[in-house]
Amino acid sequence: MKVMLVDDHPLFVDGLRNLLRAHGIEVLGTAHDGLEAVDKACALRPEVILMDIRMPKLNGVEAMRLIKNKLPDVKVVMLTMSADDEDLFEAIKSGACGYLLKTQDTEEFFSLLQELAHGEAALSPGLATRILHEFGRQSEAVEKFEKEHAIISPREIQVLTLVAQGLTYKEVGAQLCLAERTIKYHMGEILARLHAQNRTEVVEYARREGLIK
Amino acid sequence: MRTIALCTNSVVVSSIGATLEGRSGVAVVRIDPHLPDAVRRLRDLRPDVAIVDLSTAQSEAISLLRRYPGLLLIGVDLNSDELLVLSSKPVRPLTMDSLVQVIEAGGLAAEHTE
Repeated sequence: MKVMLVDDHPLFVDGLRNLLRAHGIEVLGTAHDGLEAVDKACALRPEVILMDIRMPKLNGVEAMRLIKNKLPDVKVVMLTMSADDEDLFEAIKSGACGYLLKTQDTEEFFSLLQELAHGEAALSPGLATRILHEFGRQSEAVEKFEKEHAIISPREIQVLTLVAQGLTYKEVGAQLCLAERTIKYHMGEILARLHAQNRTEVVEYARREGLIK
Repeated sequence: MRTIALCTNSVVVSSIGATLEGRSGVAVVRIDPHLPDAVRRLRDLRPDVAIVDLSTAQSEAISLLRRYPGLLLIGVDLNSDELLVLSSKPVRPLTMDSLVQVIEAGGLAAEHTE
């Protein structure tokens, strides 16, 4: 495995280079910030990049995006102190092949690196579960949003938008070339589907859920 | 030859150990503090220094200091980018006089009062 290391902490990056070499892993080079990482990756063409996240000039996730644009086959694994969900999800969404914590057990670290060589993702214990939960949560949110939009037709959204602007049903009808009773009918349907009690509630709900602007 | 015991198995401490191993006059030994014979191994080994990763092993550090009096312990923390030198030099008996003496001496230089 040919690896490049990217980390702004000199003690850690020097030590990690020695540690990897002691385990028979070839270290092609190191970089100390995201910008340098992009240049060196193009020059050295490693198979794997172990990349810190929080670095000066350009953070690791941004650097990874740039590197993968130029070298799509390179595997970038974040190696970080950060166990924040935000960092984790952003890295995975941006194309990281793994996310390893610097605090994890060394034997496990090398075991996960070996799995990377076999095409598996390298994730520190516990992170896969968090990613799955986030994936599930996002799926639920998308499903809910699509469901709300599916319930309200484009015409009903037009009606609701004008009502939200404070127009009377008569004025809405005039704008949309519809009879007042038709507007009342549409509002009745919207209230029923969204389980709202009154016009104010349905407008608030629709704004909150992004159904109308 | 100075003996250094690595008392956390994190990537951080292992990396530091890998660099120290390359230096002459230094012997590096790894000790898993969770194993039951860790204290015995430390006593047998009598390292000059022990290193722990403070971001994961603060309680182990305190435990080592209590169980292995006189140990010079270095805690490293990449989060705060610092190393802390922790030393357990027991002072007996526990009296107000001994406490004041340690405070006035700035802690590390305090001597036994018995």
